[in-house]
Amino acid sequence: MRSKERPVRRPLLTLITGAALAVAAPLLWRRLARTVNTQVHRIDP
Amino acid sequence: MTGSDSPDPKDGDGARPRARGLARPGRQDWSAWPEYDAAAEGFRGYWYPVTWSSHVTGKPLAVKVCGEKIALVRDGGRAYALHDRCPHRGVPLSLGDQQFPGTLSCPYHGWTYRLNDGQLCAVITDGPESRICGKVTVRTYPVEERLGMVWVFVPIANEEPHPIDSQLPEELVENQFVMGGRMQERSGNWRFAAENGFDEGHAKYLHRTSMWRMFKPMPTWNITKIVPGGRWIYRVQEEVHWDADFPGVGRWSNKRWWKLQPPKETFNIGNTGKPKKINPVIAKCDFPGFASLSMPGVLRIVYPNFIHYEFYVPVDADNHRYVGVMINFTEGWKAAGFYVKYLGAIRWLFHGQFTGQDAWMVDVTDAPPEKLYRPDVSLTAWRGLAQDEFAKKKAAAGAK
Repeated sequence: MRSKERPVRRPLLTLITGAALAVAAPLLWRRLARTVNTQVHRIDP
Repeated sequence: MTGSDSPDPKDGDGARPRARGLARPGRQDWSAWPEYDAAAEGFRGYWYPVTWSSHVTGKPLAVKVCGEKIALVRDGGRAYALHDRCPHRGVPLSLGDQQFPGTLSCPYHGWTYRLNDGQLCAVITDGPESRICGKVTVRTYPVEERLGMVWVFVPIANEEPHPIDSQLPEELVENQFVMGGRMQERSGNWRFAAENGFDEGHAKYLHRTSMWRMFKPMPTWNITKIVPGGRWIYRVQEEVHWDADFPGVGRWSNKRWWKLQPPKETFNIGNTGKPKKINPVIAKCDFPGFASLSMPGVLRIVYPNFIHYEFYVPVDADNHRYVGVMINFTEGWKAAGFYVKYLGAIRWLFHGQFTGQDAWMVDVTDAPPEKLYRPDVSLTAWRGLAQDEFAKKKAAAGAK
């Protein structure tokens, strides 16, 4: 049975997690791209 | 079995090997192509891709090409290349950093060189009046950026570089495209890598087990001729045989029940049969054969909707840099599809496991001495091209 109570909000935790992801995701992506030495580009001469 | 198995490539008198048709058939050494034979560390006088543009930042990066140690650094948006050795005590400049704009300082005593001409412009530990300033220079190398990569020109003597666009595959200079690429330092001489890339015989046998070809059969054997075209040589398939009976040993084929049926006609774009539709840019190029090679070791494999390139960059006599690039002449939303396809599959299957089989063979190849067979006309044609083109280039550069 579904509870009618609203879930406990943790806005600070959400904010910190979101900020951490926003910083870490591009860094991890760049780290991965560097490790596999692979890139994709659009070339418009 | 014909000929001797002796590993000695020379005849008894220690002079030139015997001519073809005598007691020892096949070529034993590379003396017919002296410039090629001498190019263990690569051909100077060409542009070489050394790293991705985004990897060159204000923090120096060490690379090696044609046996030369080079420090790459970016300043004011432009990439610069200096010989990676401080003349003072031989410390790599790539370990240093930028203490002043437009310069690079050695990490040891702060000898500081101008990036554009390599001249020593300050010695931090000798004060502003240092007498050695202006008397010492490190070598600089011309740098260009194309295809998202940094290219360095390694001169034969002190000649001016030719325009880089005259060395790139023609179709990459004016057309719009998306590309995915991979660079990897691999062991083995760059010539083995270039020869492997253009080798007529190997792909259908070595790569028959690759995942890239899991659902497409490879031919058993071909009749191929080599056709020159501009600065390229092309492999043109005249006959493609999908199975064969080998006298005394049996039948052999790469056809399997789970693989697509091979095409009935002979084809020269792609290696999976006559295509229904060819990309208009590729069709316009009208390539005579699907594999082509040009100096200084650029392989082009043409498929109906994309082109695969391999640049074999000499690092030193024992190592080369593999640069695999897949090009799709497309734009708009289709470009996004290509990125997904490249990063999700092509990078791992084609520029990964498939060319990993090549890397394996290049690593273990040990020639000369060698005994060539009919399909190796692809190898000898490439060596001839390299020999002729470099001899002319060397003469033009005034080098001996």
